[in-house]
Amino acid sequence: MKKGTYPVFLALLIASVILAVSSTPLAAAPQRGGTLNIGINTDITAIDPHTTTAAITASVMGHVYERLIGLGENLELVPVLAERWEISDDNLQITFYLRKGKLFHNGQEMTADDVKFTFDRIRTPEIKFGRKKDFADIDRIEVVDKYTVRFYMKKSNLSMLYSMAYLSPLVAVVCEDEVEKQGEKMTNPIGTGPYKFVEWKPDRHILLERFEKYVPQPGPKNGFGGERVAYLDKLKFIPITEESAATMALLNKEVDLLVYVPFGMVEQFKNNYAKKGIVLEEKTSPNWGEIQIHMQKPVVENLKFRQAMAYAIDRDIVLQAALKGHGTPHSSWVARKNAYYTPFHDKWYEKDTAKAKKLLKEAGYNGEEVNISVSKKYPMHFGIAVAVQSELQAVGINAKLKVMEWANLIKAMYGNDFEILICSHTARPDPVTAYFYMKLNGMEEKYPRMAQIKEEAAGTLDTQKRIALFEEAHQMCIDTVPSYVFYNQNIVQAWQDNVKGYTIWEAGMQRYWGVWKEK
Amino acid sequence: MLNYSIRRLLYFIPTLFIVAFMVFFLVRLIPGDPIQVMLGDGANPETIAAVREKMGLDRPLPIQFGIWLGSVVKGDFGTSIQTNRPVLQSIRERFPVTITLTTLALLFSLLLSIPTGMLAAVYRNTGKDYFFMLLTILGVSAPVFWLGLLSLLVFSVKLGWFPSIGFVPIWEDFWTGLTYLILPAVTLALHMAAVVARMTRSSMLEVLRLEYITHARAKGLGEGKVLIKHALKNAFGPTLTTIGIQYGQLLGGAVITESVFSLPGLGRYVMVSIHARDYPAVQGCILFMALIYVVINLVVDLMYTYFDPRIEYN
Repeated sequence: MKKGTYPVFLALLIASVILAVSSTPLAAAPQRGGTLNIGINTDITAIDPHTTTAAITASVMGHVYERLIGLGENLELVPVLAERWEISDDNLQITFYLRKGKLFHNGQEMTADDVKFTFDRIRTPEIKFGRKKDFADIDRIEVVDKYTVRFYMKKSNLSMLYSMAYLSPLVAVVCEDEVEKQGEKMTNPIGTGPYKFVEWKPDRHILLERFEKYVPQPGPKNGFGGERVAYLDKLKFIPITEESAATMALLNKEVDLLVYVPFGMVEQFKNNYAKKGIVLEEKTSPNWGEIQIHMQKPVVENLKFRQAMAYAIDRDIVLQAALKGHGTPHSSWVARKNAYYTPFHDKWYEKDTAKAKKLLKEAGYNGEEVNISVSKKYPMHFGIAVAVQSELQAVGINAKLKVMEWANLIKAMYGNDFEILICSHTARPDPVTAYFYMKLNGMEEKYPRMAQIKEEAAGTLDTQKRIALFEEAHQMCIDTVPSYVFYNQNIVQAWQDNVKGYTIWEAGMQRYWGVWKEK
Repeated sequence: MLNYSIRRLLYFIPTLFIVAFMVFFLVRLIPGDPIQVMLGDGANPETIAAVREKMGLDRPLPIQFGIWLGSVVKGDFGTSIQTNRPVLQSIRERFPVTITLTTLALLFSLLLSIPTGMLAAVYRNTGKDYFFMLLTILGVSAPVFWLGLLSLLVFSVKLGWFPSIGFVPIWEDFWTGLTYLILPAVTLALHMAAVVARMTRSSMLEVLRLEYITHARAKGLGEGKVLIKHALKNAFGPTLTTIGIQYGQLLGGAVITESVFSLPGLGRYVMVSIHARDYPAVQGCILFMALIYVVINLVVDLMYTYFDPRIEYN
């Protein structure tokens, strides 16, 4: 380069860099408007949020309704309709201070009367609310003033706060006047959320539109809490039960977002559909898959037999069979994402065939048949069953599959009618509710300390105390093998690349506030 | 014929009573508790008992049956356990979807099957006959879900001619509604056409060898007239029965087609209701389907008189 041309070249270079930087778009600003078409894998089951436990209903109606308190990004408790709350020293009074000026979609202001009505309603026997027992310790609810409501408890139960914030069923604060006007067969749900209900055409769509008078609460978006801004004019949820048809609808741009991408199609999405403008995201949720082992049934009641089972199983094989590897190995009912998780919860048995065989011998096992109850409703359940059966058979356990319909399996689970049972669960922010299942496999009867741990944990929100209690519970599980937790399951979703501001929330609930469509 | 029709309508009463009785008790024989399914894993026994009591499911079965039947007679099919909506309202919303789909499928299938069956019979034991019958075997054997997905892939994703999901009622917007129905209707029609074409062929073969056909030809009638006016009309009886049965079955819910094409029909509703042990929904739908089935059978029987004047209903 000639001496004289160097400064010119440098100037041009600097100028072009400045030009390039200045022409690079900054983080795109949210745009208002448009309809987001969302492919959901099953229809909602009801529009009255208190009468169904279906997660899809809670997820969809979670845009119409709001909870008193909610879960944050890491499953911690966050304020929603209640600005703050106070707990008395003896835990027997919980006072909620409500946000002022929160409007229902009919224009009426939400007040303490509505909160009292809501919690009275879900506790009445006539309402088909699935988690009444979580609120059974409420003695009475008092409206202190228009924006203050106090819960008087029969006994200390702070786990109830998590139940209020729980994912599903949605403990939505409803408008007293509307519910009384519409009666039990609610047709027009009225909430305080950023979107209002327009119509539900079963198996066709659920249509919501932006509630213009919604005032987002302060603070950054955090789980169900923080700022919830509705940019989209409308949300249209379209149930598409057939997985391949759902994928085709996404490719055809008939849906903007698919909340369920089958694990078997993930590679195809990555390899082929990414270039067609489809964004794929995968995150590990706190949902878990497991087997329950009944501690009071023949053969499996023997501790050495259960330990032999634990040594016989390779969890990676189960993970592969159930989820095609789309999960993170995990051993405890306290999920990794949970605020009370510590590395202690990773402790579990490593596969050791020799030890398994030795323990079987010591247990005096003579090849008796052991049934694994499973339903084919969820393919992952059947995957777990087949893998577990094969692993158990490999060490000489005569494991048989007992395939039954879902309704039957539920009945067996609650009727103490199983030896080994395959199940999976959605996120339990409060591990106390996760350890509920110890009631169903006979563990609490055999080891009453488990029930005590639950009660002690329910009586405190002190993180350190709770961590210690849940570690003790996990140690008990290691010692007694009442179940075998295999993994935390991944969630895979996909959307068009013009959908902005959306990300999977590991808790499994959809959130379309803060989401917009680029024009 | 009027007397016959009235008599047949009266026969409906015991038929439907037997169906009602059987469906009521059979549904309850299947293990599984609808309340437990509905309330999920957090429900305690007290809640389950309270809801069961509220829904009357704690009463003795004969009393439950009596109450339900009494309501049905008054036109109340009950309320769905799962959705809390009246069952009749759901049937009213969904049956038009199913009947539109099925009727369109029937039309397509007749357009395909009758000429195919006739031609196969006329050219029997020739290459054309084998070709048509091979097509019908393919039609019968190809699984509906596979045909459905394949048609979605080709006509919706690749060619972009039709939408892949959704539904717009044709009574709201005829042409748009039609675009949502063509693929599922053709998918259903291919299967139906295959069965009807085979039946048409065999009935035509029976008739074509009869003397009156030879006589008609000897009179100098054109082959088209002989085949359509003389042969097909007389051969149509068994085909009509097959069409009636197939149509009736499809009206009961083209479950797979409705699922693949995301159509909000009756079949999808029944399937979900069975899984949830939603007794009122299952009972109501099956009773309704039985009613439709017997009505179609009556219509088919009455149509026989047109195709075969020897039949009299006195």
